Amino acid sequence: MIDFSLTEDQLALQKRVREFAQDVVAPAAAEHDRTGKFPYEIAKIAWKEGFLNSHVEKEFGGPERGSLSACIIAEEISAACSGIGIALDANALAQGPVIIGGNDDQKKRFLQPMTEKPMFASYAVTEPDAGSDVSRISTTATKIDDNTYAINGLKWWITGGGVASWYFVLAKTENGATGFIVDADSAGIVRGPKEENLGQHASNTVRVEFQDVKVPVENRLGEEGDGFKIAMKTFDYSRPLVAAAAVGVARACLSHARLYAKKRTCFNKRIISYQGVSFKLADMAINLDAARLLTWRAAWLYDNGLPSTKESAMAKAFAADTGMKTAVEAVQVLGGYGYSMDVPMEKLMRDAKIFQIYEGTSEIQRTIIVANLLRER
Amino acid sequence: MKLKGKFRKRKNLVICPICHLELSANDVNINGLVVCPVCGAVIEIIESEGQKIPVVHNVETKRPQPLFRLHTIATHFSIGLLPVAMLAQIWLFFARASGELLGNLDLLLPMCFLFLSIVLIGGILTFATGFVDWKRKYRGRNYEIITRKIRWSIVLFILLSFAIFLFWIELFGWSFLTQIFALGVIAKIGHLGGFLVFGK
Ligand SMILES: Cc1cc2nc3c(=O)[nH]c(=O)nc-3n(C[C@H](O)[C@H](O)[C@H](O)COP(=O)(O)OP(=O)(O)OC[C@H]3O[C@@H](n4cnc5c(N)ncnc54)[C@H](O)[C@@H]3O)c2cc1C
Ligand SMILES: [Zn+2]
Repeated sequence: MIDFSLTEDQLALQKRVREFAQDVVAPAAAEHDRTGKFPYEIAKIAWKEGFLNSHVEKEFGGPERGSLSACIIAEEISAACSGIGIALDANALAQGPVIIGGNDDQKKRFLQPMTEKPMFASYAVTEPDAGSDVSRISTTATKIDDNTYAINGLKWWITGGGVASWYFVLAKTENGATGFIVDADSAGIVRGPKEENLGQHASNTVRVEFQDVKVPVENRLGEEGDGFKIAMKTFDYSRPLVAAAAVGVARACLSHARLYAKKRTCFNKRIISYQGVSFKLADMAINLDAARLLTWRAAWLYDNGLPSTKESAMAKAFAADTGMKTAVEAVQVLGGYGYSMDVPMEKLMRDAKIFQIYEGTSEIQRTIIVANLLRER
Repeated sequence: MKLKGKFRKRKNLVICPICHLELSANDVNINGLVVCPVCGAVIEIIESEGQKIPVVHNVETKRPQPLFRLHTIATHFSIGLLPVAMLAQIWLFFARASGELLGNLDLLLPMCFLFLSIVLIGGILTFATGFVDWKRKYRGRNYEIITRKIRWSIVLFILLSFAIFLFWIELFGWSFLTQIFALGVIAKIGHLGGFLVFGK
């Protein structure tokens, strides 16, 4: 049976988040874009409304929402401002490895506090020399005694890295890549300044250096050598989220362009009456729906415990490409006004680009899809 | 959602894409348009995903210009005179405290009073000419920025009258304090007026 409708709970959640996104997030978008200020106040409201920590199990104070519901939240917030959206959603990416590979004690120590007060966490895998090719990481975790590791290395492009209370860190041990939860207050952690990026200025991206950072064995996720699997498995659940955020951006682009085209006059006609403009809108609508359906399918598979690596990659790649394509076309529909910083359009184009890069580039998603295709009989 | 403070203010903010003036979505007239008071852009504001998108339909040109720039003259004259009056009062204060003769006190006191009164009259004139400009140049349209100016002008009028009254009953210190507040309010009104001249 195929069913494209959302449940009553999901519809109610969507309505609530939309109201929050349009009333609180959207009006703040331009300011955060201009100043690069981290959206603490907005995060506090989102936390209070229960829009954060979606995947955290009920046992540890979370709402234990499914992936699809989390996607609904991501789309709504990102339609208002994807920079703020990602600033909030970085938590989900960091929590992923703990939810997937953590034991109850770790969940209690690191996930539960996030449900008790607004807090942030980061996923620290990428290094200057290891982005797409995670196996190249050179951060090491050396056992200095039976109970302690010392972590050394430099993590790069860490979203929320400057505000995080803890990090998920992938580091090499004798037995291969291993995941650790590292308290951000640990001695030896040096956080770099906020990176100046093309878009998503509200999001805080920094480098984080680990200099002989002592981490207790209890903070190791699974066994030594499990890290790569955990880090990659996290993507099955985080990629639909990122795809949903890209869908949100594409939706905002279509909405802005459609409404503008209906009002703006050129040669005595509304520009929407010109096929050169209206076909752009039609293509945007086609891609938007396709991206959302791919995203929801990936989320649905994940929620039902079915394999979803290929489908997550498909959703992420298509939604990211759609976000970018739609933004470029939407700017075109608004003409010069689309290019002006006083109109909330060009920001969407700057923001959209990153979706094709983080959480695995669009090319890497295709390599994942191909690897899965090759495996299929 | 119930919004407070800056969240509420931000929600209504629209920026004129031509002169960059911050307009309020509440400024729209019955046709759903807002005419930018600075550059005359005729803007329709569309709401999309919580954002306000300006669509420029027209530009209103050939607006009547202010009469002899009376508003500007009256404004700057008063603004200039208040600090002079305040400086004279500081002079007076030190002259009294030191007991030294630093000038003719008999003359200085009524002079300060006169200056303050002129500031008040100038203020009233500013208000009146501002009203005429609003009716002519801005065609009596509602603008949040002008409403705010009017509100602050009323505060200024009260403060100045009060300062003069206190001066009259020889509570010089209190009068001076009130004048400091009045100066702050003048700065605020001038700041808002600046937007109407230069955009933002
Ligand atoms: C704003 C921002 C936030 C980020 N947040 C985080 C975070 O929170 N945590 C984290 O761990 N990382 C984060 N990243 C890192 C991000 O995931 C990496 O930048 C991304 O994976 C790409 O890695 P790279 O930049 O090293 O590019 P590279 O891996 O050097 O790739 C360069 C180019 O080569 C292409 N390429 C590489 N290999 C192949 C291949 N086999 N086939 C085809 N093309 C290929 C890539 O697609 C890309 O176009 C963030 C990055 C940014 C910019
Ligand atoms: Zn203007």
